[in-house]
Parts: sequence; structure tokens; C-alpha cells
Amino acid sequence: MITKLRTAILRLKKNEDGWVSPFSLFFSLGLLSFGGVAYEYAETVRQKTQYQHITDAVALAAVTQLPDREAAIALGMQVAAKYFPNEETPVSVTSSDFQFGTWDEEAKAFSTTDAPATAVSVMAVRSKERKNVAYTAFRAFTQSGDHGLRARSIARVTEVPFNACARGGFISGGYLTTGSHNSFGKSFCTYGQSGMEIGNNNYYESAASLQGGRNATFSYGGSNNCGGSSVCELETPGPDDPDKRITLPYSQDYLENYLQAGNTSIFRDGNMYTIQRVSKLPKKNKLVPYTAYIVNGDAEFSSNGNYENLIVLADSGTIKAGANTTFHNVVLLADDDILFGSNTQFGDGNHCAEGRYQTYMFAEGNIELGSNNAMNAIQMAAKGTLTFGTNITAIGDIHGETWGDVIFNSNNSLDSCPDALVSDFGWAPDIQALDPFGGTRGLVM
Amino acid sequence: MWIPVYFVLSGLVVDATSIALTQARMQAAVSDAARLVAVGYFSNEEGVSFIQNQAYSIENFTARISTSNSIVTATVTMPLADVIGLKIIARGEGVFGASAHFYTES
Repeated sequence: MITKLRTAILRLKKNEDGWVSPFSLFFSLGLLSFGGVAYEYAETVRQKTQYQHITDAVALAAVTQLPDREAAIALGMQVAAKYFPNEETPVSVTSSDFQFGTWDEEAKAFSTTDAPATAVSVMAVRSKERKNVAYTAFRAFTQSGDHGLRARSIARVTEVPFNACARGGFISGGYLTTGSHNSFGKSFCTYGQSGMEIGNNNYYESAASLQGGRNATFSYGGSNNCGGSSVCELETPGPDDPDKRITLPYSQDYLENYLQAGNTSIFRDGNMYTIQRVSKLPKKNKLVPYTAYIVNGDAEFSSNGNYENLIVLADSGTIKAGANTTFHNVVLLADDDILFGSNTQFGDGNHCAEGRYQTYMFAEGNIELGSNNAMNAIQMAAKGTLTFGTNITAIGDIHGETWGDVIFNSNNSLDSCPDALVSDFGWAPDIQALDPFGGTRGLVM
Repeated sequence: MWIPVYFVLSGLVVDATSIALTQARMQAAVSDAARLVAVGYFSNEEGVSFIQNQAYSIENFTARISTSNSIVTATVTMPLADVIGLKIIARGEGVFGASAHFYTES
């Protein structure tokens, strides 16, 4: 019996019949495992691609709301929720997955910032911590990896030059206030970096612009006509840096130094001016045309005068002009203020055909003009306040810039020449700022 | 006896891969179409045609693009039976697809 059993075991040991079955079984398992690995890898890549699409869409939505971060997150989450319809709140993309900053094009790098952001980074995460790991049968069976994945997209908005009132108008670095019953014709432009307030019954032609800085406030009264609509709108694509000051066409300092150095050929007509240093501006009938008067202190133009072809610098002083005067081809520079009375006529009425400004005023302080003035072809700049009285008419272009406020009273009528006027100082209006949110918005990563 | 088993196993891998590839192509198509509609480059009809043109051979993409609350949604579906492959997985009923959502910028 034992011998028979031993013989049977030895025979079975040497017998190869049926070996194909266990071999095939293991071979099939191996084949299935390889297939499983390939499928799991493909599935992981598919999920990664899908999540990349999700972050792309969320980042592109969020960037449209910049610089408002809360709005960017809200809209981004609204888009994200579309991709996870079965989740009350998406787990893969949360508000903490949004980062705001800037994009360095050269370094291809994203940096977070507390300043107004021009780029947004969005991350989508599947991880154990979020309890949303991807279920993958093979990896679960082998306990390999953490089953997590991450996808990230960055979208940004490009900067573009901002040309506020590019062809002239009133540009204020503070607030621009307009009274009632004013008329702004053609392409006359007003800009208040901090804000604008306009009164009642004002008329703006459709091409006339109301512009402001990015955070400018805006209010207007009733019965206004803004390009045919009673609703007035403030364009606010302005610079984001509230401390960035408007670049004045020429500072009074610059021109004073220019003049003190003996340079007078600043008018385009090429006329040379003779410099005279005086303690007091001569009386109107003693003024000599084509003279540059450098007055030590205040300079006063008396009333009822006709002033042409003059340069006057009030060194450490104020320029004052009485009523009922005319000014043409005059440059006024003051270390302090420039103050004009009423009933003053600026320009000869030929400025549109001539194509250039005819009167220039640059003050370290304020510029104030009274009422009933005809202000044609004037370029002015001040570091203080520009104040205009009532009943001003400006048939041709008038351009004023200030770091302070512009206060504009009532019953004024402003218009533009068909073409922008050229400054004798070779300067074109430009507040020299970039609009950080005015360009295209798109993915960079 | 094992040959059919190997055939079935290989068929499973081929079908699974084909479905994954088709779905990846669907995802790319709806993302591109939704984005192009969102930026105003495509109309909805052009977006639908664009998606349908990404189908190969016997594939039959059913596409739809709609806009709600300024969010463009593009969806595409296809019956499993139309998957190019050995039709071991993809013999029965059912559809699969992809969708994409983009905020309108135009």
C-alpha cells in the first residue's frame, strides 16, 4: 500500500499533463494586472487633464473680475460648481485655492501681492486631506500612492497705456466739480482722478468724455444730457496708483530755470525775446512786445489792457490781472498763484486755423479765473487748484491740468477745434500712466 | 481553451483605452468650443459644428451649447455602442461624454 502510494506520488510528480491550466491562470492574472496598470495610468492622466481644463475655466472667469478679489473668487467658484454638479460646494476647488498677484513675463513666475492684482492663480486638488482622492481600483488594491493630483492655472490681464483726455480738456489729480448749465461740446474732455461731481442741466455732446481714476467717485444732478442720455457715466480705466501724480506739461520750475538761463525761443514762431529783470511789471503802455519780464515778486497786469507777445515770470510771487483785458501770445509763470479777474479775452479767434495754443499759464500754486471770460487756446498747469467762474466761453480748445481739484462754476460753454491744438512747448497731453486692467485677459500657465 | 480568454482580456484593454481616448478628445473639443463661444469667436451653432467635427469614423457626437448667467456650457455625448474598438465593453446601452463651462468675456 505504501509502495503503491509512493509510486503514484512519484508518477504525479513527473507528470506534466494539465500544467497549462495553472500557468494560464497566472499568466492571465499578470496580463490583467498589466492592463489594469495601463488603464489606471490612462485614467489618472485623463483626470489630470480634466482638472487642468477646470482650473483654466475658473482662472479665466476669475481674471475678468480683477482687481476685485472677492468678486473674482465668487465668479470662479460659480464656474467651478458647474463642473461638480453633485457637490453642494466644490471640494476640489475652494476659495483658499485662489491666489492673487502679478505675473512676470520674463521670469515666467507668479508672485502674490497685497497691491491690486493683475493675475490670478487657481489650484484644483484631489487629496486625502480633502477626502476626494480619485478611486483607482488597482492602486487601491496595491495600496500604492496617495491617489492625489493637482492642477494649476494662472490667468492675467495685460497693462495698456492710459490716455486720459489725450487731446486736452480739464485734468484733475483730485476732484473735478462742475456746476450747472454748462455745455461741453465736441470731444471736450474732463478727468477727475479721485472723483467727479457734476451739477444739473449740463450738456455733454456724445463725443465729450467724462473720465476718472480707477477708484474715482461719481455723482451727478438731474436734467443732464450726456450724449443724448439722462444717465451720465464716468469712464474709469485710470491708473491704479493713487499716489501717482499727473505729469504736468511743464513745471513752473523748469520754465523758470529755462528762462533764467537766458533761453527765450520757446514760441514756435521763432521770435526772440529780450529778458528784462524788474522789481515791478511796467504799466500797460510801457510794456515792450517780445520781452520776457522776470519780476522779483508779484506781477500785476492792470485793467483795460491789451497784452500781446509777452513772457512774464513772477519770481517768488503771484501774477494778477484786472478786468476787461485781452491776452494773446502770452506766457505766464508764477511761483505762487495766477489770478485773473473778469471779462478777459484770450486768443485772437484764429487758433483753430493756426493749430496751436496761444496763451500759457504755469503756476506752482493755484490758477483762478473770474467770470465772463472768453478762453480760447489756453494751456495751463498748476499744482494747486484750477478755479473757473461763470459765463466762460471757450470756442477753441482749452487745456488745464492740476495736481489738485478743478472747480468749474455754472453757465460755461466749452468746445473744441476740429483738430487738437499743438503746444509751443512740444508737449502733448498725457497723464503718463498705465491702465493695469485695460488689456487682454488670458491664460499664461 | 485559453485563447478566447486572452482575446477577451485584450479586448477589454483595447475598449477601455479607446473610451479613454475618445473621452479625452471630447473634453478637449468641448473646452475649445466653450472658450471660443465665450470670447465671441464662435456662435453657438459654430461651436456645435466644431465639436461634431472632432468625431472620427463611426463616432456620432451629440453636442449642445447653451449660455446661462453669462456662463457658456458645452456638452457632448456619444453612445457606447459607437466607440471604435472590439465592443466588448461597449456593446451595451448607455452614453458617455464630457462638458466644459466658461465665463462669457465678449
